Amino acid sequence: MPRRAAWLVAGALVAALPTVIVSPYARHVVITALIFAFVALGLNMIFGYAGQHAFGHPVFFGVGAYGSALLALEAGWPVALAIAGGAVLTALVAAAVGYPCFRLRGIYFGVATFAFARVIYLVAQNWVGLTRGPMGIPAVPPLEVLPAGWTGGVTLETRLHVILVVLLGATLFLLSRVIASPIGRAWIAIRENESLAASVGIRPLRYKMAAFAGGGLLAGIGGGLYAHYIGFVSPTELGFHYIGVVFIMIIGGGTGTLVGPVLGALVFGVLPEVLRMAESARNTLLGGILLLSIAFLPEGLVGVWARARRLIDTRRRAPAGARPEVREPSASAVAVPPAARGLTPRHPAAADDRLEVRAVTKRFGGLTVLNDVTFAVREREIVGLIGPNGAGKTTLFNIITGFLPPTAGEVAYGRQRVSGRPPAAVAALGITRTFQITSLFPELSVEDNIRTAAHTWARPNLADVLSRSRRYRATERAIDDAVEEALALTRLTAERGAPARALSYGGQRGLEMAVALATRSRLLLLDEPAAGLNAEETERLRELIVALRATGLTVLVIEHDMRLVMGLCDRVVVLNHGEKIAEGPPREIVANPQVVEAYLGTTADHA
Amino acid sequence: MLELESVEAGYGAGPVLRGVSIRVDRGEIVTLIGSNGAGKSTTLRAISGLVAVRKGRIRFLDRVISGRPSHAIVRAGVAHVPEGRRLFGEMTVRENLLLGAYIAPRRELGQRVARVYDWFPRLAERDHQLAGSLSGGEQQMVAIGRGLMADPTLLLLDEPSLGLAPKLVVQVAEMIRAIRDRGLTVLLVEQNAHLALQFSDRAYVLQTGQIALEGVSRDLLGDPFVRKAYLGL
Amino acid sequence: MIELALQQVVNGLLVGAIYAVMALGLMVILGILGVINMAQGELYMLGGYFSYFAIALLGVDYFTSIAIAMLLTAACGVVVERLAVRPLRGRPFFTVFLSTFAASMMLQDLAQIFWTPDPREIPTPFAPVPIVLGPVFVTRQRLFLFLVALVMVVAFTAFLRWTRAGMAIRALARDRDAALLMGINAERMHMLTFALGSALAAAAGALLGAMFNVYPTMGELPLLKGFALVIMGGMGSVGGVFLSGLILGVAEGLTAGFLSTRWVDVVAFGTLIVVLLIRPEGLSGWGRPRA
Repeated sequence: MPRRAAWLVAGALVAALPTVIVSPYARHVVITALIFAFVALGLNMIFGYAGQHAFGHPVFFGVGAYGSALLALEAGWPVALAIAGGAVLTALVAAAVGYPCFRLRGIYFGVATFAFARVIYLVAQNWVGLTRGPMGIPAVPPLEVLPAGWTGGVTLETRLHVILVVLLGATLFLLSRVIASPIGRAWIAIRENESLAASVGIRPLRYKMAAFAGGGLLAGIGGGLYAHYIGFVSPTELGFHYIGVVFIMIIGGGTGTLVGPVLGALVFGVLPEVLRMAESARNTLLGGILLLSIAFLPEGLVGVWARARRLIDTRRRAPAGARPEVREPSASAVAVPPAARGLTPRHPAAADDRLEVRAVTKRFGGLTVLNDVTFAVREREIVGLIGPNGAGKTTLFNIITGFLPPTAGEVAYGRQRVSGRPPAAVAALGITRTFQITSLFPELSVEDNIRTAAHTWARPNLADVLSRSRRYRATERAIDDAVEEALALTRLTAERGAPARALSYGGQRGLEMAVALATRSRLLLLDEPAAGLNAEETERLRELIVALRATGLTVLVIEHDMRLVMGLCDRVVVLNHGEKIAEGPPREIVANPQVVEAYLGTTADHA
Repeated sequence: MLELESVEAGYGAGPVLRGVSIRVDRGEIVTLIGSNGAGKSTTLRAISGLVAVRKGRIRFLDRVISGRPSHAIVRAGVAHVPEGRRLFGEMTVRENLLLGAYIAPRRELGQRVARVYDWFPRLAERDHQLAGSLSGGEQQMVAIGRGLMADPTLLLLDEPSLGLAPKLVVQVAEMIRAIRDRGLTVLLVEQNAHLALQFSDRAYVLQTGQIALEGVSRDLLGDPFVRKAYLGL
Repeated sequence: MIELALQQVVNGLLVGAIYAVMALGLMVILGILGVINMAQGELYMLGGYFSYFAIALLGVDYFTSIAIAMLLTAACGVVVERLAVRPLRGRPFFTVFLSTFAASMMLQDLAQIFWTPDPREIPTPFAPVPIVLGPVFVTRQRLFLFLVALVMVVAFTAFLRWTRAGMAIRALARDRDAALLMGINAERMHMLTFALGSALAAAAGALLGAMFNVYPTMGELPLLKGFALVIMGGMGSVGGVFLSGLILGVAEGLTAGFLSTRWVDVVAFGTLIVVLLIRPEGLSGWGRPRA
């Protein structure tokens, strides 16, 4: 059954629940669960998609509750407007909280969000003038979206239920558009591999803030709905236990999907009710459920479903064996592709598109890793950078691409200074790199891995994304073209739908190249692209790079495979102990006694 | 004494060792040479248990050690001096040495430290100095001394010449010879092929995770294949 | 005015030292195992309860009760490690965090069920005669508690510095691989670290529990303040954490004296936030935990 139809059917079923569920208490639980679906979706945005461990984020549920209640009571806004206003306020508070927190990494970030959550709780408890203190705000105007007269005979609860389902459906629809767009892919990219994301032009802070505040908006909607439904707001809504509940929902349901949080909210939706009612043993219950979820639902309910589906699928398919590696009739060499439409480098070629490394020095504390290194790479050259272990080659790459600043000296490309800029900015200037250790987005499909590279030349716009405007669709088509080209060049077309982690090692290396190509950069920095490849794969790599040069690219490659270097590079630069010891065509370099000594070492007699 | 049988090991997706078989007999100095990324360090780490062995087996003194936790392997008599020395910089020389004898009974500690200072008299002067403040050569001595503190039967040395001035390198090499002469067996991984071949009995050349060549070190010294292998030709 | 300030400062120092003890327990677990032990607050609470019951049921004196509490709680800590942490080795760090969070919730509840939410008072053998130091009053009890806290910190530092196990723990925190190559049994050290961290939490609980009261949810805030101190002081820096504890205690004391007791807790988190913004890496130490 096509996806959209499945969703509509599911939605209709959920909407029809009140016909089946008759007990008022049970209906009440379902409504609470639906409200919490919003909060869960909000947390999922920052935690599940963007992968940021924001422990304190669910506090925005409470903030939305307070915001909406106060707008309705103090400012006299009509309920629907108050909820919307409260949600916007919450998004602003979230942005204010998120910005300082994102200066931190790892656990520190999470603990900081938690600390803010605690402060907000304490403020609510103590700033009696604003929030009425620990006693909370009673008599919050009730949720009444359609006047009773319109829908005769249907109870308030049922009306509420249906409205909520519709609202949730609309939210899911918009969210799905965001997730299936470059914005959603950027979040996942940041989650999977932040450095790689930055190097393909995704500015992490911007997207993290968007997820944090956007998630706050959703949580705030949930909070507002809750406040007007229950009719009462207190600091408890800002407390520990709700934080725990929302986490259980997304972990039990499955993070990183849209279905998961909703499913989790519905299944674990009984929890908020239990919290309100049961005083004793409520923590044991929560704790026990959390532990069980962790133990038995590592990927949540969604994971169980996915696993079941895979089981069914593999039974159905003929036992054809494991994922087949792409076997090409390898006889023919790669034909030089006609001006690759999709992958035309972004910037017009300029005669002086040189990469200039000028007197670059790098020190870490007392250790000098690079010392006064100078060389240039001319347009359309393929230059090899070689040298024994620890010579400083990767460090040099890091400096060129903005992952490290030089201690002295500078790097310029096309007359513009490049050193000292952040990776995303360097990517924007037309330089892209691969990494020594395979660097990909493991959970994204092969296709989507390549798609993320488009961030260097096609930045998404929220309005376009939501409305699927003409401009958006045109850009997506251009991205599709680029992706097709990259897939074809690296012979990964057959594997496009597989998650990157499922590829063979050679396939993954090929995917790295594809991603680099899809950035449509003029200058490619390849860090040991042949590492771990067999002879056949290495030959294909060589052909690919030569073909790319024909289309206008410039390549600087770190390599140890001298056979490849000999057959590929116009010139070679040799580093040893951080210094350039030789430069010239490969044949000369290999015969240079200094180079040989650098690699093989000295004997005792020469010491 | 030590046998690797078709060992496959690696980190993450790519396999680093693709079926490596090595033998080290008692009293030998065997060296493992090869270009970067060939898998030399990984081999030692697989022996000492820091890297999981996916296929194949590692035997030491006729007992299987692959798959066992590192501390058990150390107790079995294997000491690994890691690449880059990895001293505990904020601890003194003495403390580093004491940690090396972590598995030893308390009463033997003083004895063992004295023995190491016998070997490396210069270190005795640095007894209370922070390890991080020593020169490269001294740090290497501490690292090797730390390995010796465990009173091992087999010593694994990972690139002891890294970052050392040529003269020091020769000193270290002679130290290794002397250690062997006192009864230890040594498996040495080295980037500096010429030196390693000069000071060892037998050698294995590792290339992209597989043994490409093996033989008596003296014979391999002038072998053009070695040069080719290193330069990746 | 100044008298009030001084008085609050002195009071704050005493409380701050005990916060530091709590924080050191958290720090060592975080530094060695890379685990945020959310159950630390409950171990702190257990320390208080064990001390109370040791006196009430076994009739021992206060000092002995602290020792008993530390031992019993260390055992509980080992159980938590076995059940909530070890089985999750290799799982994402956040999963372990949630696991200890769950353990904390359950422990809190069990305490409420078995021991009721009524607060208990730990009787201490101190006459309520205050010692007068210039413009400042210090009760004997507070002075003693401060000294015990100080002794704990010193003993902890000595343990880490001078004992073999302590060196092994430090080595593991510094360079795990190198430590493994020394023959250090990482699993055993993990257990020991948890026991150590729990014992420290228990001491803090028994100490502060005697000053205020013992009740099931008493561990919530000290847990968070403890983390604040670990972050402020810098992972691995005993001195940094201790100093931060004193600073926090003084800040709280002054807030209580000049603003109102209601805002005292906000100060703790406010301080944490401010420190994080100005100096994200804290004062010196081991560097970032493996997260």
